[in-house]
Amino acid sequence: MQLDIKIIGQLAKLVHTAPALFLHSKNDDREEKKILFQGICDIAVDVSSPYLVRKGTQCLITLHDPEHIEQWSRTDALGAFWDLGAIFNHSIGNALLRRELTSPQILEFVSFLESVLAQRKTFLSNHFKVIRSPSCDLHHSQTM
Amino acid sequence: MTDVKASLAPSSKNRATATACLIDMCRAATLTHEGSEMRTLAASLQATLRDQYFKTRLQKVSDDDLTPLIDYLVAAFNLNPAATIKEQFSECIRNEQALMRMVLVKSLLKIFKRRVSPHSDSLNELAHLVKLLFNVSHAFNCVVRLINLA
Repeated sequence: MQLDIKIIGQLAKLVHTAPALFLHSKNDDREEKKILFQGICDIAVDVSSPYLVRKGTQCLITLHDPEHIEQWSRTDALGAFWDLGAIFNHSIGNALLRRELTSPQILEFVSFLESVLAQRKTFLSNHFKVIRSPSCDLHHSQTM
Repeated sequence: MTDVKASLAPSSKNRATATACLIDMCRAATLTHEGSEMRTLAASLQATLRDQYFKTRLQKVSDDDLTPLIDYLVAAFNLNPAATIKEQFSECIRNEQALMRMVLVKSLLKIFKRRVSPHSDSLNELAHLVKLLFNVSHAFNCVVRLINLA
C-alpha cells in the first residue's frame, strides 16, 4: 500500500485519539476547517480504495459526534454546522448520484448516512433544548 | 559522553546503539522536574540528535530509523513542546520523504495516547500542523492516483 494512504489511515486514528487537533483552529478559522472537511469527504467517497472509504467515513462519524459538532466553531456552532455540513451533503450526495457505486457500496453509504443524520439530529435537539430552556427564556424576557 | 557522541558518525558500526542511548537519556529526562541537571544535559543531547536527523532535508531516512525517530520526537515534545513543534514537527512536513510524515503522525498518536487533550499553549500550532499534514498527504495521494491513471 502506498505510504500516503497509510499516513491518512494513521491520521484517521488520530481523529479518534485527539479530535481537538482537527476541530481547533486559531481565531476560529472556518476556511481552514472547510478545506479539511472537503479533504475527508473526498477520501470517504473514493471508492477506488475501500481502505480510504472506511477511514474517511470513520473520521466523519467521529467528527459528527454531537459533542464534537459543538466544537466545529467556538463562537457560532450552529453556523458552522450548516456551513461544514453542506460540504458533507454535497460530497455524499454527489457520490450517491454518480451511479458508479455497486449495490453493496450504496447500502454501506446509506447506513453511514443514517448514522451521521442521527448524530446531527441529536446535536440539533440538544442545541434547541438549550435555546428553549426556562433559564434562557427568563434571560430573554429580562433583556427585552 | 564524548565516546557516545563520536559513535554517531555515519561510518560508525555502533551508530544505532549510540543513538538509542542518547534517546533513552532524553526519555529519562522527561521524568525529572523542570530545571534538573538531567534536563540540561538532555537539551544538549537533543541538539546532537536534531543534527543527526534533521541537518539536511535530503538526508535519507530508512525504515530502521522509524522507531528511534518517533521515540526522539515524543521525548523532545515532552521536554520542550513549543520548540519541537516549531522546528522538528514542521521539518517533518517540509521534508520530501513521506516516511517523515509517517514519523510525525505516529509520534502524535503516541503523545496523545496518554494525554486527555492537547496542551492549550501548543494547541493552535499543533492543530494547524495536523491540518497541513492531512492536506499534504491527501494531495500526494491524489497526485499518485493521477499519475497511475495516466
